[in-house]
Amino acid sequence: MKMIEAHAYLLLKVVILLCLAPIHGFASTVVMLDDPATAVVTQAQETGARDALDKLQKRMDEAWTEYLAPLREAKTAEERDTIELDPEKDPGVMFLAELFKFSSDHPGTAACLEALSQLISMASRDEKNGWILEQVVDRVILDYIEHPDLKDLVRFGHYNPPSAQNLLLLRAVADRSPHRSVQGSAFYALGKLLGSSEETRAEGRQLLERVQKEFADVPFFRETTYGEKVAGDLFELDHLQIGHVAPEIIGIGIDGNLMQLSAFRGKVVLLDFWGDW
Amino acid sequence: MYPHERSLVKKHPADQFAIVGINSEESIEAAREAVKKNKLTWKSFFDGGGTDGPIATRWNVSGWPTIYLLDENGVIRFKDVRGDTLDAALETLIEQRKAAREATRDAESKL
Repeated sequence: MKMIEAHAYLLLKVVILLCLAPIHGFASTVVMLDDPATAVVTQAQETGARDALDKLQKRMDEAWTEYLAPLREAKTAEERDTIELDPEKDPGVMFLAELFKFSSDHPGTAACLEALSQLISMASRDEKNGWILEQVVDRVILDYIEHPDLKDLVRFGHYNPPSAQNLLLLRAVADRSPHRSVQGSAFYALGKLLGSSEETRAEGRQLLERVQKEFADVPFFRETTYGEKVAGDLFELDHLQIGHVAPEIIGIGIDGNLMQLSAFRGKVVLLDFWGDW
Repeated sequence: MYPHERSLVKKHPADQFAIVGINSEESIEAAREAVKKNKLTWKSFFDGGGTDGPIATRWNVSGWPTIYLLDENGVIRFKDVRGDTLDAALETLIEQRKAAREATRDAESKL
């Protein structure tokens, strides 16, 4: 009886392989089933995925331009403040399904990794899309954990909410990426996310200290290194949290006079870092 | 943000509440122009020109505007609040300030 079952299972596997063979090519299908991370993607598949993503990206960019047009065309700040954009027409919501389908249609390609990166921030905006986020995170970990371009995906990971899936992804990359610069980025984003809530602040601080010790020379963005970034973040964690006395500011005002923050003691103060751009 | 801020300055008396700006314009001329154009009546530090000035760097600011609400003792009580949340937070702090002063006055009158 057991023999028959085993045969049936083997037969089934062969049938599946034969069905998949015409799509992916037989050899690559076998590799994919065993180890998705080393799946062979042909040049033609890469190019096809790139073209499809470029087209989709162009449509998304146009949708964003159109969606944000009222804000751009507002002449005064007053006018801008009264504009309410329709959340139903938000391109970040409207293109979610299409981009997700794209990522499923082009597994293993570089274009797919870019799409997954965008999907993480799009799906993170609404908890009801948690199931998409879960699948996207799984795909990144299964197919791309050793990919050097993962740095672009994790670099701004701290701008996404500290959801279970986002934390899982950053932990996986921090632990398993073979590239020091990708690893440093993941540790940093993870430290920032954990540092942002009170219950996990201590762990976040430890991770940021680790970034300072081990990854200070790794570039973050443009000219800035993680060493420079982290110095500011540690100061913020230690001195700029709710409950801390605000650090003193002494300087020259726009009017040319000397001014000092502590001179406003006795009043409730709204401290506003601003620029007219 | 400016219209909202102007309404707050109008709503709360100047002895209870103040806006203090830290401006990251490229030059002090541009900062003066922005004050004039947006009819800002409150004071701002000029952060030396550009977004990487000493105050913004020390306060680890990476997005503009960034908002902190301080109580009358200079303690940070709220970060990055906007819109209705900002109004409510401000209301709370001003009420607390009033209550603290009344309590002090009562205590003093009993002496």
